[in-house]
Amino acid sequence: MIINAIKYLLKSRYIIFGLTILLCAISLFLISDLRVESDILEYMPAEDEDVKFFKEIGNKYLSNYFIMVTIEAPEDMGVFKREYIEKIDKLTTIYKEIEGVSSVISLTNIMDIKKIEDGIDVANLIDMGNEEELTEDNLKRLSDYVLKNERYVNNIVSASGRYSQIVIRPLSNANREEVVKKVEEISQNILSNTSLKYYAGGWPVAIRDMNNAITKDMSSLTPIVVIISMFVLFLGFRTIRGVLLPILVVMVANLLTFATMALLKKPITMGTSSVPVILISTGTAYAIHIINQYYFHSNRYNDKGEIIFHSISDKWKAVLLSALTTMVGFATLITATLNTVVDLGLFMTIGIFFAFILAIFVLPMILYSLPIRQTRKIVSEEEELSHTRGFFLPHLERLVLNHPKKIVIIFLVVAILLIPFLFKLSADVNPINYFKEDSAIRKSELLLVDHFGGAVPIYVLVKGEVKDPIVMYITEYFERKLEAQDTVSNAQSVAGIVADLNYNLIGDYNIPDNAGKIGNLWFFVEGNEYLSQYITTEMNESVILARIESMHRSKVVHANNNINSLIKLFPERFKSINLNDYEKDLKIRLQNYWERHLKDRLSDELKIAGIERRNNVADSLISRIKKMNNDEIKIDCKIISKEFEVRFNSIRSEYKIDYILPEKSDEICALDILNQIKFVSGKNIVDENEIEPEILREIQELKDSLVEYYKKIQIETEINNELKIYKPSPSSIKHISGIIELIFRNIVIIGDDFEGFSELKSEAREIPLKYGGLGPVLTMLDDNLMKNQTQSIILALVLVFLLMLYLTRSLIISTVSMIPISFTLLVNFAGMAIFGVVIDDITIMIASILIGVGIDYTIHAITGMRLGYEKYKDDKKAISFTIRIIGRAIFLNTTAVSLGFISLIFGDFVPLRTAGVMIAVTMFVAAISAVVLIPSFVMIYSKFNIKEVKL
Amino acid sequence: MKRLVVFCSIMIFSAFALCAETADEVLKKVESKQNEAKDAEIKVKITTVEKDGSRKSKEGIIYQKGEDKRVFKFTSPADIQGLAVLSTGKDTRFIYLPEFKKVRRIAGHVKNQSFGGTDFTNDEISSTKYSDDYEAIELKNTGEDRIITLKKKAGSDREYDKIIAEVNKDYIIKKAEMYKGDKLCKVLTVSNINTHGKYVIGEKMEMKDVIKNHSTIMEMTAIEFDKGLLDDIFTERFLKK
Repeated sequence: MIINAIKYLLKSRYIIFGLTILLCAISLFLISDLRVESDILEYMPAEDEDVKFFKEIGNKYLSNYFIMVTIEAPEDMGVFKREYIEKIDKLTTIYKEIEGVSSVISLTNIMDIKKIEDGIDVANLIDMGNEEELTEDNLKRLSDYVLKNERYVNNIVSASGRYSQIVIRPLSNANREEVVKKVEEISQNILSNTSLKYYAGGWPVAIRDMNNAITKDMSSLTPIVVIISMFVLFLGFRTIRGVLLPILVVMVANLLTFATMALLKKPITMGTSSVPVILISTGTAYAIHIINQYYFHSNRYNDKGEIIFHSISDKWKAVLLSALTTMVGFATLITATLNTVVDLGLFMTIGIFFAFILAIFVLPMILYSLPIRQTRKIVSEEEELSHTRGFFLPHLERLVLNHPKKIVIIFLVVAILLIPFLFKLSADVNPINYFKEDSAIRKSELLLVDHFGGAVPIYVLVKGEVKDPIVMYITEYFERKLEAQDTVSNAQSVAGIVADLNYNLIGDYNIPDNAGKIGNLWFFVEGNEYLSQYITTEMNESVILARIESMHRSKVVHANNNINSLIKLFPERFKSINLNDYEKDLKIRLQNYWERHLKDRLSDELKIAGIERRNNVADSLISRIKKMNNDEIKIDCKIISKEFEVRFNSIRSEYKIDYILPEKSDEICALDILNQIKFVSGKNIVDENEIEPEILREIQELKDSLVEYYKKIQIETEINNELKIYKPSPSSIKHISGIIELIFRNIVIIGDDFEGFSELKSEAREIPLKYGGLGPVLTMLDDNLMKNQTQSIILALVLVFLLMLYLTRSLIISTVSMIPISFTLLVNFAGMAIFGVVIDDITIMIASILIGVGIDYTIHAITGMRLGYEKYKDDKKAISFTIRIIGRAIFLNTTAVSLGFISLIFGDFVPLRTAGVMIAVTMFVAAISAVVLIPSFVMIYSKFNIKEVKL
Repeated sequence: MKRLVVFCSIMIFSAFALCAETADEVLKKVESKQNEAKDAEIKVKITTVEKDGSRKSKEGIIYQKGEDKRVFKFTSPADIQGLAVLSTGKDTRFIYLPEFKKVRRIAGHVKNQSFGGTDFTNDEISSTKYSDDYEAIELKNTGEDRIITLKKKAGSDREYDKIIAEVNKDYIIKKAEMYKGDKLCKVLTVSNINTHGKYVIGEKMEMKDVIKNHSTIMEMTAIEFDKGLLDDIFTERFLKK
């Protein structure tokens, strides 16, 4: 049938040429529209819950695609120099003006909350309009302040003060590549004549760099692989047509494949960018078979038609089988969940199909149109077998003939030894790891890891009215819990900001226990641009933002597992109750619950502070504080008088009243001294009952605030005494004091893990937490990739097995024929694990290529055995024929394919380079396995009877 | 005929007067008009309009005396009821937090920050004086209205570099566009301009942040001028009441 088709096509070959040229012209036009899109997040499985959540939060809080510009000051000085600060401010202002930028946060405009004399200051960290703030002394003070503040260190400035970060959030509909370009142009312009350096990082920068590298790799690797393939073809054929025609076939196949991509509106991805190289390396084989046969018959026939018909007739089945197995290998990738892998599988299958069609139907037309070209005399197989040329193949032959069992056992032992390594195999789709270590993006990411707590953003969504005291308490609690996790850093939330406001207002780092107080504090920050990263305008949910400290997969997985376990064990419903509303027994149980909770919180804070034996320390601290009461708080009388005097000033001036302190003989006072104060109006001592209620209220408030003040001092003293050997930072003291303050609260939060929760009187709040971000998404993609890899291998092996079963009609032959390729896969994956090569959207194709191309070697070996037996009617001669004649052809093909793939080492991407080397090496493993194992099995396994096999 | 001559004379005189008016004079007249009353007590409803159109309102009372003294006391919503902000000078501000029963000083440099989540800055809420920070550089007449361009004076820490204001015949600002460099950032639109006693006031002001696509509408009711407000109102003690 195919010969009839060829005959028919030969008659209309000019129409075929015309159509092919037209198709190429249309394809050229179509591919001009192709765009590169390497963002793996764009190809995530849309129905996946993690993906949906990631996109939803990313769009709401603009949290997925921020650009981080790290500014580096010279080694001997920090960024706190007027000239540098002004540059950072200028960058901040100009970045904001870039179209598509939603917000920019930097050292100069980050929201700062601090206590000032008699007041509070909520404003930009640096008031750039105020010249005084930029003097050397004030910048030194600012540097001290910032570098001791946990909100800034490792977030907006490095602990050394040498690096500062500017975070740019593009709008969800912005052209991110354009924003990155503008950011870099601006940074370059503004910092060009300064001693400051900048490094742009973050996902959009990585994607932009990947897109550029893909374009660069495609345009540089394709010519390299073409040249290498032409060299190999020249060695094989030593004719112009023998060199050019196979290349022409795969180049047209490539053109048609990319035109199909354009027609289907698919962009070029990291995966599909390797299509040209793979197609040239694997697809030339079909044309080589036809041309080889053409030369063979050109020595025997003088008629061009005869030569073509015989060539096609001899080879079309072998070429079809070879194309089919390769297509099967790639087509199994279409079952993947990751669309970039699907695309790679789809377009490689299409590419192989085009290469096959062109080799079978168009190439003969070209050969037919050219004058007959005879090649050098082909050495007969008999002559070949009679020689003992070379070293490798004759040795293999002797080895198989003499030690077939040993060979099989050696393969088996190697396989058993390699199996454990399979369990160490992992996947990694983080594009940052695709770049070489000395690349700009890797340097930038390393800076983020080393100085800014990591580059993998994560978040926990807290559902519930943001300003509700229970919701806010839980948010702040979980924020600190996250911060206490190994490998997690920079946990921040809106609740932390409110606690900070409370701290700067009344010295208590806690969420107030009533909505009114939160409302009052909120007034300071309402509408601040900085909050938009944590809350939406609906205020019915918020996010706790954090970073995973390392990009390393094991750290990311560790963080994910920890956070998921935390959320799983975390109560979902909470009640705010007043302990005094409950009777003794229940009250004691509630108190115990609250104390356990506080101990847990304290333990977290001690962990954050780097304190060991934290459970013992927490116990000791709680019991120390519980013993403390107001009577025990002693203070220097002079200090308390001075403090009272300062605070009394406003009452004195407004109400025209004065006071007299009680006379004390000793210098140490108890706090009850405040109750012994007398008040005078004019010269008369006034009884408290006679004082106007408004004034009395103010006096009482003053006394209360002093008691609170000294209580706090006492608590801090107790904490300092308990922890003095650990030298905790002021920030740790602030958090620990906050928790200690909670011991004295009567209004407490009880979770649904309290036995009897439902009996508690107050209304329960449901506060579900959900974990998301780049961390879990990358892990999900990695896991999917592993699953996809396993699925596609199993599916490919099954399909190839079925194909073999159909061709050989023998279960045993089909089963044995799977052994060489299975061994090759094992070597490949164990090798990947041993050398730390991960599965990614490039290396995932190695298995497909190995199965698709490698199975051809097995088929050739089986066919060789059968042909050898047919010719020599002798097993040993058939084996010699297979190893020396067929084996030679197999190794030549392997060398050609491997040389093609090795060209990938000239690429920019680490996975592409790795894949090139892995394929080049494992192709030889596939060839040796096929050439050695198939004859060995024939020798030792009588049921493996391939004499009757039809292929 | 006599009447016609008189009418024409008035028109010509007016036209000359109008032509002779400088941008600076217009600015001064605007300021003088805005601070004409000795004092004022006004109920205010502030509505913020988000990008998605959702709205949130706050209500309060403004007490103002002279150019500098102003108290803004919130009456709703519940979580800020009683919260009050006192400004007694360019850089002197206090806030009373009723839930904490505390008066706290607010640092002077927050004047360019948002006032309680609105699109008005603390400065725009508490001051109506432009000439300290801006010089009027250009004047255009458009029918009855004038358009003046204000340029920030060197050394001023005001947020906007340039303001283009449309002023009506009564020297009330109808519209003001605020620029950073040449980039338009906010637009103030004043409407419902009515007379209350001897004073003219825009009862509704809308401040739109064109970058954030967010706006704030301030509606004034129960407007009372020259009530003879005591200085006691502009004290920390009053805030606590």
